[in-house]
Amino acid sequence: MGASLIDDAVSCVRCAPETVVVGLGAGLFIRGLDRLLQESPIVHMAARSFPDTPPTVSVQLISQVTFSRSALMGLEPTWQLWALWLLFLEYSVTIGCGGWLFARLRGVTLSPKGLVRYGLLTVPSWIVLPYTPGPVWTALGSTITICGFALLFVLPGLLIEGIPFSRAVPMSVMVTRRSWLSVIGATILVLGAYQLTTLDTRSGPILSAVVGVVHASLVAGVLTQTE
Amino acid sequence: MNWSPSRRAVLGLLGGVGSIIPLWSVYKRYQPPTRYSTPPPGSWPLHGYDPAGTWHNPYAAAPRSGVRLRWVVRDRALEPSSPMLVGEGTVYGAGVDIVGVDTVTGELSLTHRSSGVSRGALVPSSVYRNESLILASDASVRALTLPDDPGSGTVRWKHSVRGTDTDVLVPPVTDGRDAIIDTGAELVVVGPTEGVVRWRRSGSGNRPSLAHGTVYTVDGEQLRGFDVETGEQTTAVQPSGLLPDSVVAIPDGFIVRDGGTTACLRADGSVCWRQSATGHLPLTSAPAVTDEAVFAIVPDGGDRSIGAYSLSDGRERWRSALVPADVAAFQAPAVANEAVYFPTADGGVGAVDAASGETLWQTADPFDDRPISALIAAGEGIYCSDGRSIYALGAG
Repeated sequence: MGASLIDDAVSCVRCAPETVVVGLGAGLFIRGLDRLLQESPIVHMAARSFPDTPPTVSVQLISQVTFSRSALMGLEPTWQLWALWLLFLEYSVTIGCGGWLFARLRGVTLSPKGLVRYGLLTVPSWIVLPYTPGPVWTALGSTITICGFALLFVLPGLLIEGIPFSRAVPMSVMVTRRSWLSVIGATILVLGAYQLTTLDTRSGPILSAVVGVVHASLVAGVLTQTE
Repeated sequence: MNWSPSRRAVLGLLGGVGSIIPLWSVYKRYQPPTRYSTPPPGSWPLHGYDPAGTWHNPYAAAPRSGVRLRWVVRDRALEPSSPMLVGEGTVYGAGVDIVGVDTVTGELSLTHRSSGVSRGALVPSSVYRNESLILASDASVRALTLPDDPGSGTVRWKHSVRGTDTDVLVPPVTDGRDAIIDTGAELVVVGPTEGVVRWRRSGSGNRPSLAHGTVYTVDGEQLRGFDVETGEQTTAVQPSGLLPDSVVAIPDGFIVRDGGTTACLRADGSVCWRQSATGHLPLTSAPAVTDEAVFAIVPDGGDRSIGAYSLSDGRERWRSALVPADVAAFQAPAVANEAVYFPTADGGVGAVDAASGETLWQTADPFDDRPISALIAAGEGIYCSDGRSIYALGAG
């Protein structure tokens, strides 16, 4: 990761310092939801995150607690709605904040179409990845993950710019191949930072929001360099 | 900073903050289940009937004259030393199979198979539609959400616990808001709805007695009490001349058993009265306690009988002519409707009058296996199991 990428990423944040405030606000919001869930009478458990599960290339506001599927079965309707609403808010804020961060740092307008595409990238990974069996994940290994993550590193930024999946995926791969050293460095930095945020259950969501800003600014930096 | 939020962004922010309101209002209106000292009428939700473990159901109208078999559910992997539970019109038996049967029709409503033997307790919930069954084994404690329709239920939460090598499992105890599990190695208190472990202490391997917000245990030497919320030890007494192996908390003290000896202790551990019977009991049996009397299986020469003692001064009121069966660990006669119900030595069940000890009825049929579990009395019925079947008896 060259110094120029960091310079570009920092200048992106300098141009849009409000991203830090909004990111922190979203992190606080997720922390509040975590707290509400922890205090609620519904069974909750520690959320699995990287490195226990494969990472997503979207901005992650890492929630520290979540529901098990069995906890939602047999709930009174009011509490079932409550749990679903909480999950909906958590996912909406994470997608909305992530999309907005990419848009602001790239200096583009956040279009509904771009946000939907970004959501389509994010939601399936939330549904599938946490339930990836541990041995499968271990067998895949972190090397393959880092490579996969690096190849799709700028994909969320491209989707937010309104580029459809069919073009955004090969473009992302091409960008990575062109500046592979910077992207691999940025990937390791982002994954490592996300992993560090899981160490403290209280401040995890807030710290991950800060990492999310760094993540989005690095994506913006790579895209700026490619231009 | 050249960013000025658009109207859409401001509305989105307000919407995000506003969306918390329904979450917050539902959360604030939540009332955890009320702690009870006496379970609701028509139920027998835990081993020993109530949190204190009195084995006395004041609401039951169990038969005082002849009984008949109402239904039987056969061929299940149950355990005679795992007594039945009753809640919301269903009787439950726990062994390797966890079985729920409609108290009226005898139809199966729950069939859940576990990897090992479990003991159960029923807990209410204001969050889940149905009651839950807290199941304790020698390696774990878990909550089974009972199904709406006949089914196997769903394990909602599960925690590992340290067990001991003994094959005697202590049933869980609950007051509706707390679930207490004593594995012998550990005393664990869990919130039964959300499954959060509140605290862990060293266990005693005996059935705890829960009263006045305190969990009392005896470990053969000391009687200890722990605040059920915090786990702070509030009581530690050494009853003089006694090595108690079961305890029932009463308003001013405790009823304890030490082999064939039954004793009443004050809160400071001093002995109010003590009744010793000569002979030997193979296993620890618990006493049944009402407002007036204590009923216990006592050695009687070379045999056994039910002994009744006045709660106030320990005076022996009577000994039953009807011989009770070999006692299973932690089990006691059930007291309801002014009668004492227990499995008999001839392989059946019987009842004696609580005031006089006179035999009211006894039957050797229709039980297939022996031994028969402790009897429980709920509603107008009596329930027991023999390791393979659950039996419901009613007025004949």
